[in-house]
This record gives sequence, structure tokens and C-alpha cells, in this order.
Amino acid sequence: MKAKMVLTTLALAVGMTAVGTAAAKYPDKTITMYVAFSAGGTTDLTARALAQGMEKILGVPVAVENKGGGGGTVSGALLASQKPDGYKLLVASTGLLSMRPMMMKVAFTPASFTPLIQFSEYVGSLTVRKDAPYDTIEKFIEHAKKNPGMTYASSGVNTQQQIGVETVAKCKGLTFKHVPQKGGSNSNTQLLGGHIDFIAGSGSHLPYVQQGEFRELVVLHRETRDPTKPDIPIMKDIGCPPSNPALGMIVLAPAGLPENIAKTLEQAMKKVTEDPSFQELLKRFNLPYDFKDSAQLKAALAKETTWYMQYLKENNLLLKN
Amino acid sequence: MELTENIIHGFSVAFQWQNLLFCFVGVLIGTLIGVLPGLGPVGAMAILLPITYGISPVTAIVMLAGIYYGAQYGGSTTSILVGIPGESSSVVTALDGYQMALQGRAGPALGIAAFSSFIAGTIAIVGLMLMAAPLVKFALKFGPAEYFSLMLLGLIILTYLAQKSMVKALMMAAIGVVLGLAGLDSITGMPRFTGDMPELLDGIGIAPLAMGLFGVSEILLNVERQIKRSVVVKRVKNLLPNRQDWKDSAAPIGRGTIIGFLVGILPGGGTVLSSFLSYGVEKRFAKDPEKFGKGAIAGVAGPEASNNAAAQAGFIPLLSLGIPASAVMGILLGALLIHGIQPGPLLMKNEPDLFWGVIASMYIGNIMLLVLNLPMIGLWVRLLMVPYSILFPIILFVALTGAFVINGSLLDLYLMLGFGVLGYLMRKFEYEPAPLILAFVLAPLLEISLRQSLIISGGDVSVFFVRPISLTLLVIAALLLLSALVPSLRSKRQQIAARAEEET
Amino acid sequence: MNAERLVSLVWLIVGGAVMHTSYGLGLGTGGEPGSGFLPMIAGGFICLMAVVIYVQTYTNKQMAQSRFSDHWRGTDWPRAVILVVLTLAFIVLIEILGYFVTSILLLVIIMKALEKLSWLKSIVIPIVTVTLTYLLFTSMLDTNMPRGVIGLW
Repeated sequence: MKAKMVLTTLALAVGMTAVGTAAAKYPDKTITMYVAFSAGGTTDLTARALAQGMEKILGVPVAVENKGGGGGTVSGALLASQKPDGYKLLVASTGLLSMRPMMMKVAFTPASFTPLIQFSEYVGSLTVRKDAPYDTIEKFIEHAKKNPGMTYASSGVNTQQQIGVETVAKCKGLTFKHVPQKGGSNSNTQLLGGHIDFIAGSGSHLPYVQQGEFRELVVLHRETRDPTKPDIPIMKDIGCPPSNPALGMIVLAPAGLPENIAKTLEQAMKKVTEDPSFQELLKRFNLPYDFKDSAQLKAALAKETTWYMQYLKENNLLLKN
Repeated sequence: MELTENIIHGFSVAFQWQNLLFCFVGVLIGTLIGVLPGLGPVGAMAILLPITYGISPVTAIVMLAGIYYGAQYGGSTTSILVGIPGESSSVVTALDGYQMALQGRAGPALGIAAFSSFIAGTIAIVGLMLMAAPLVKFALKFGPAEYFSLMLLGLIILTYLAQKSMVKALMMAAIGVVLGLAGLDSITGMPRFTGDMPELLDGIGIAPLAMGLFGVSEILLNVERQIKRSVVVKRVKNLLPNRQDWKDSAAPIGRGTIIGFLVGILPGGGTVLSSFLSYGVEKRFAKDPEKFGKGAIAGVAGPEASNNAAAQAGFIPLLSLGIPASAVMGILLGALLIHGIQPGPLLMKNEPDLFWGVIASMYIGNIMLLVLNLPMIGLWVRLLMVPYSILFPIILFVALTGAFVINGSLLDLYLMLGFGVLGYLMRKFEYEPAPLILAFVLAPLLEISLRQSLIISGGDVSVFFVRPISLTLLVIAALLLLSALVPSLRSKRQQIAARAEEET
Repeated sequence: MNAERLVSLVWLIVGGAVMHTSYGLGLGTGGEPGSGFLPMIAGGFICLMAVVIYVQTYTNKQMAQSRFSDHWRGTDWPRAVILVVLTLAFIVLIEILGYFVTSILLLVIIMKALEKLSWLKSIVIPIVTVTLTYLLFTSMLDTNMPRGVIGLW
């Protein structure tokens, strides 16, 4: 009799401990936040600010590890292989899910991840030198029609901004010559030196606009005018269908993350990004604030993927099996 | 005069105690990072960036800048002592510097490296101050066509690097080109020679390549030698360069400074390219080029001068136009942004404290580095007296660690080991690694410039000859090539003539 | 077998492989070079140089006499091989046993088994070196070293 009681109590105790551990407070140890970009870039620095903020709210260390390379695919593969226990996250671009897997062989699929939040997005605009003979987009289009084969630099082939410029070309029946660069700042250098006619500005060009060297002619990727530059037209204003959607800066976890952990992370990150110091940082990097929670993000990803699938198909860039 | 006012203002900023303190911290860390093979200033600066959040932007940049040019001083230390390049810009120093160490002259080698770095760095800062604006305008004139011609010039210099068989050196260069092009093709966006490994999409890292080819191979070659390698020296007599050393180094330092300064200004130029160019030029203009590769002090003085000059010159595009000329400058750009400073043409005007304060602190930093490095020479040389059996495992371990922390990637370790074995075999059969590395560094920029130029010109090849700067560079390249071939042609004719005489 | 000759044949194969891959990447035209343009030239160059070296093994006296045994005579090359194997093992084990443990193992084995140092030296030096380096990289530089499956340190 007594043995039975002891055993039951023991069983109950063990059971309760098990339940207790499962319901134990998350998080209780260091969270690792991977960054899909190399150290020192604006996305990396933003991610580090996010990590710092999360530390304060969650009460555990959040360690940032750069796993740049392959346009984010290295970090994607890494995260996809981790346990969905909420201790491994990744800051990346939505392109990792909506574009890359369809273009190249990667060790993950879009379904390998749990999208958590978006906190910013990448910008793009067709930008020329201040002293160019065309100071509005209309004059530019006229000039381009008379001089086919204008050259432009971008931060890379099939980047968000380069695709954006090509949608302008398609809409207005123009032909441009694309001169790919390694990264956005090289495009700025080429434009400063006058070696190319215009650039697909990808964000790093904004200080030059502010300091009077460059001029933006049309803002790409947005469905409404940019509130910080209300007199620069968008695609709708020049009679074109919307260009490709902007890729977002997002936080991912491996697929299968438990609901409660996802909620905790979402709420913590929302708080961090709403904080004025984070907002100030975004402003300093010339990054817009665009928050999406996981539901909104999933919806946006679906739309984005459809758009890019179509684009890749039309341009014969889909990965051949 | 406005310039003097600015300079005085700059020094008044630089001498503020927190700027002095952080300058010292920066150069100290930089030296340490430079000495440690593998981890470079880029990694260290990124890691230390958060520390700068709470301090003023000037102080932040002063410290970060110190890490960068400090690393150029430190990198030569491991190159000279053990033949492992501590920094990619010190690869060339490993050629003759290490040989000098083997001959018991590690002290003078380290000394000349420190002094060359100091002299060149200081002169470069003066150039920065006086000529920033016109120089950067000149740099902007370099479009893709000019870069192509410059890279071609660099490849021609490569022919001067060959010590023994020219054929084998050229073969190594071709291999270097292939390795350098491995990765994502920027123009098509498609991978090349990556074997489907995503880690290779950004190319093969220069650190695992250089450390493997030079360092690991050296360890392997030493390990199999049965004679107990009494590393270097029984008694080191002079720790500093003697008068003859100074005589031999004076001109190389001068030339190295100019080369480094000019190449460093160009976005994409950089410390690696300038150090190789300087070595090639020194060998070309030396009275006794056969000494190179066997411990010619000019082969240390020139490259060390040029890599420091290039490091200082690299600040010019950033500070005057907001253009990051290299990955390091990219981090500084991020640091500026974090502190609310918008880089660009107006930086000099809007932030005189920053601009002149940082420049002034570079003088101070270079002096600090000289004071730091010179006394250390005695310490380093003593380190060499540690028996090799204890030394090399530690070196190997540190190299593996250093290579790992760059990307956190095991692939880099496999690459380093693989290149180590390759280097070991290559050196047995007298294939030299230096031409491979130079070609490796040049190839990507050479190729992308070629294709970009042709896209812009619509396939018209004359673009390289019509543009004046490009044409000038090509003419220099052709002259250098001819002058390399002609003597050998002449000696060939003399040989044939001599043999003909013998037979009659 | 003439060593230089064999090596040149190896290079010939390498060059051929490069040329083959380059062709698959697309050569483009002279006015619009493709992805494989420059690599093809490099590959062709490798093959050309390989042929020249091959010919030199007949014309050049020194090269005609090259034998594999020459390069390894008088060397204790098994030690080099062992070192390579040990390093390889290190890389493989680093993520299983963790950086700290694997590094100590590597150094101890090299010092004791390969270099025949005393037990005292072979244990103390590795522990001191690895600890210092580990502290340097993790505390001061804030990097992350592999913890291994066991999760040590």
C-alpha cells in the first residue's frame, strides 16, 4: 500500500516536473541571432540594435553571429537545420524565401522557416546626377526614347532595385544597358565619376541625394508616395503598373516553432522596434520603418513570391531541375 | 591660412584625452589583430563597433581607424617571424622578411618594417591633408576601362615576381586567375567553379589561401626536416637596421609610399595590390634582383611602406566623398551613419571636428605604433628562440583559430589545410606561390572591369585605347613587358653567339 | 618516372578541366565576354605551360633528371603526413568535441607523439595556450567558438 502511494507520488512529481519544464519560462538561455549579411553593413548594424533591445526585454543574452555569404543562402541553410526551440533566429531579407530558392540550388525551401516579423524594407529609386540634362522622370523617359541603350549601374544582377528599373523600361518600352556592380557603393562611385548615365539606387545613394549630388527621379517598389519625399513620383504616377514589391528585412526561426514562443518573440521585437532609439537608428541608416507581424508577413511573402515567380519565369531565370 | 587653421583645430581635437585614449586602444588592438594570422581589421572593427555607441563620433572613428592602420604594422610581424602572413597585405613581406629572419636578421627586418610603415604612413597623411580634394577627383576619373588597364599592369608586374622558372610562375598566375574567379559571377549572377557549395559563392577567402600556401606549407616542410631546426639565431646581435640597411631601404620606402598612396586612393585598389606592386617595382629596379626572395631588405621596406600608405590613402574617398574604397571603409561608413553623420561630399564642411580631428589623430597613432612596435622587436626575436617543436604546434593552432573566426566556417579550415598541402607540393617542385596570390587578387577586378567596359562601350574594344588614363597605363604595361623580355632575348642571343663561337 | 613530367601532366589535366567547365559557362563573344571567357583563357594558358614544361623535361638537363625520390630524400616525410592527418581530424572533430577540447587534444598529440616532448611540456603548454587564446577570442573579441555536441565551455 505504502509502496503504491510512494510510487504514485513519485510519478506525479516526475510528471509535474516534466510539465513544469515544458512550461518553463522561455527564454532561459542565450539566444543566437544569425545575420545573413556581413559585419558592418547597415542591415547587420540594425540587427545588432535589435538584439541589444531584445536582451533588455527578454532578460537573456542575445548573441549576434554573422553568417554572410551567397546572398544569404549560407545562413538560410544553417537556420533550416536548427531546432525550432526559439534559441536560433535569423535576420535576413524576404528575398531569401521569395526569390533565391527558385533561382539557385539551395539547401532549404521557403517552408523551412517560421517568419516572425518584418521591421524594415529595402528602398529603390531611379537616380541620376544633379547636373544631368533631365531633371524629371518625364524628361528622362523622353531622353531615353531618343537615346536607346543608356547605361545604368546597380548593386547586382537580379537585385530588387535592378528589377525595378527594368520594370520601368518594360512599361515605357525603353532599352537600357545594365552594368552590374559589386554592391551599392560602387554604383554611387560610377555615377559620381560620370561613367554611367544613372543608377538603380538601393539606399546607399541617399546621402548623396541629401547633399545635392544626386537626384531621384522616380521611387520604385512603393504603392504610395514616400512621405519623406512627397514630390518624387511613383510608378502609378507615371502611368506604369507597380514595380516589384520591396523586399523586407525580417526575422526568421526554423519551421515548427511553437506558438507561445513565437508570440513571445514577436511581442518583444515589436516593442524593440517601436522604441524611439531604434527608430532613430533606422532613420540614420535611411531605412524606412515598416512593421509586419507574422500573419501580415506571411501574407506579404505569399504575394511577393507570386510576383517574383512570374518575373523569373518570364525572364527565363527559373532554376532548371 | 585656412589649412593651418584646420590642422591646428584638428590637433586640438586629437589631443583631447578621450581621443588619445581611444586612439591608443585602437592601434593596440590593431597591432594585435595584425599579428594574429587570420582575423583581420574588418572582423575586429565590426565586433568592436558596439563599444563606440556611447562615445562621440570623432572618438569612435579615431579608434576604428587606429585598428585598421595598426593592423598594417602588426601584420608584418608574423610574416617575418614565421612566414605566415598575418594580414593579406603582408603576404609579400613574408617572402623576403622571413628569409631575413632565417638568416638571423629578424630584428632589422622588423625594424625596417616598422620604420617604413611609419614614414610612409606619415607622408600619406600629409598627402591626405593637402591633396584630398583634387586627388579624389582624379580617382573618380577611373572608370571600368581604367581599372582594367591598371589590373593588366599589375599582372605584368607579376612577371617580375618570378624567381626561378618564368614558365612555372606564369602557370601559377593562371591558376590564381581561376581561383580568383571562383564564386558568383557578378555580371551574370551565376556561380562559377563553386561545386554547388554556397559558402564559396563569395569566392575563396584570401586568408585561408595565403595562410595555407605560405604558412601551413612552411610548417609541413619544416616538420619533415630531420635536422633539428634551430630556429634562426643563436645570438641576435643587432636588433635594429644598420646603416647599410637604411641605404638599401631609402629609395624603396620612397617609391613604396608613392605607389601605395596612389593605389590606395582608388576604390578597389587597396593594401594587397599596392604591396605586390611595390615588391615587383623594387625587384625590377634593383641592382641585384637575384637577392630578392633570399632576404633583400628592399623587399620588406618597399611593400611595408606601400601598404601603410595605401591604408591611409584609403580614407580619402571616404572622408571626402563618402565612398568606401574597401570592406574596412564600409564599416567606417556604417559607424558614421550610426553616429548620425551622413557621409558624402559635405562631410568635410559639416564636420570639421571629425575630418581634421581624425587626420590629426592618425599622426599621433602612427607615432604610438612606432613606439609600441620598436621595443617589441626584442621580445619577438626572443620568441623565435623557443624550440621549433613547441613553436610550430602553437603557430598551427593560432592559424587555425584565426582562419576559423573570419567567417565561422569550417570550409575555410579545410581550404587552409588543402592549400597548405598544395603549397608544400608546389614548393618541392619549385612552383612559386607569390604569382598565384597576386593573380588571385587581381583577377576578379580585371574581369569585371573588362566586361563592364565592353557593356558600356557596346562591345567596342577601342575604348581601352581611346581613354587617356587607360591608354597611359597600357603603354606603361607594354614598356614593362618589353623591358622584361628584351634582356632575356639579348642574353639568349649572347648564349647562341657564344655557343656558335665554341663550335667553330 | 620523371617527376616534373608527371606533374606537368597533372597540370595538363587541370587546365583541360578548367577549359571544359569554362566552355559550359558560356564564352560569349570578344565584344561581350561571357562567364567562361577569362577562365577559358586561363585554362588554355595552363595547358600551354604544361606542354612547355613537358618539353623542357627533354631539353633541359636539370629537369630531365628529376625524380620523385630526389624531392623526398633525407626527409622524414611521414611526420608531415601525420601532421596533415591530425589537422584534418581537428577540423572534423571541432564541432563534435568543441573547440576547447579538440584544440588541447591536437596540441598534446603533436607535442607528445610527434615531437616527443616531455609529458609536462606536452600537457601544460597546450592547456595554457588554448586557454589564453580561447579567452582572447571569446571575452575580448566576443566571437563564438563551437561548443560541440557535449556543450563543453
